[in-house]
Amino acid sequence: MTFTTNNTFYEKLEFLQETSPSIQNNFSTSSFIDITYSEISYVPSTFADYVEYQYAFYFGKDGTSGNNTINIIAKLLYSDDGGSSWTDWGENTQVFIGSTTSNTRSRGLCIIKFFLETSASGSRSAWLGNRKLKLWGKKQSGDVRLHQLMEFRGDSGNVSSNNFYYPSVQCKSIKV
Amino acid sequence: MYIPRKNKIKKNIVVQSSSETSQLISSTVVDISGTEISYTPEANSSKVVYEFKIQFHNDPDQHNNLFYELQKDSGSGYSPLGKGYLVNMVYQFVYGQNVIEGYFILDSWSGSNDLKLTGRTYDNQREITLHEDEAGNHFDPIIKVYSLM
Repeated sequence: MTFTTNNTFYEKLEFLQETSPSIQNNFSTSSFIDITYSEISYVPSTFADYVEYQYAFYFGKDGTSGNNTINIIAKLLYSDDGGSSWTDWGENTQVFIGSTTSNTRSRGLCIIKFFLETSASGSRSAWLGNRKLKLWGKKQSGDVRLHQLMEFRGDSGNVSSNNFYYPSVQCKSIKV
Repeated sequence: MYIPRKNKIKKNIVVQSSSETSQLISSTVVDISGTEISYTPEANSSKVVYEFKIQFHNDPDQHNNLFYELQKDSGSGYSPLGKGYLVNMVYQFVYGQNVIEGYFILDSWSGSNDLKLTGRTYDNQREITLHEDEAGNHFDPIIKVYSLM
């Protein structure tokens, strides 16, 4: 079956895509760092109860002979001062991807999606103006490389390097 | 190059879920069944997004290594889109079952073009079965294509 439709509401979609990404493999087990290409600025639509934040990226092994334990912990931060200072968003905005098992060797596309309230909560003010969002990441063990496929075989040829999935980040407004 | 697209609206959203039988993928490139779609972008759109969701399970092998890519037919036959439209998915030693989910973003075009996913495994010791889980629960692939204005 095939459905065809057009939106009847304005979800104010905004997104960024990086078409010349660089490898990111500098994660540590002790402290979080920025996950590249995950940052976006967004002003919700006036009707919005929630904002959906979504980040799509490729993750895998760090090199062909690298560690076979592959995982990453990602959490969301926000800034209301243009990026000068950042604060954890808090509950429901941290995910674990991959495995701590040594031989899983997991690789593939991953989509991280968070639903964020626009109303005030705790120390976080209501989301009325421009707010920046980004992901921080660290690894629990092993090694991980983002954005670059180490290998591909198919109609595009058999290639061992210089192949990337283009990461993208997007936000849209949601009315309950 | 970072490409910002602000205040965009999705138009001409097409969702397809065709009934497919389970499909064994081996080391020869084949079309991934249920992923082919003809699409005419909305006039004056800037980009087209191709989303996919496909169930798999590891059998008949313990390890899986699936290479898949997006191909496009603009009127003279299918061609792989190459860099940026390739994925290497790996599960090993875990008898993996999961849903492959993702999307590719293309420059828009005029008229009707066809899109599909093709795939192969690393070798015949890492074959994979699509469109069902190990218990035989069926899950037809879902393809969603839309234009960004």
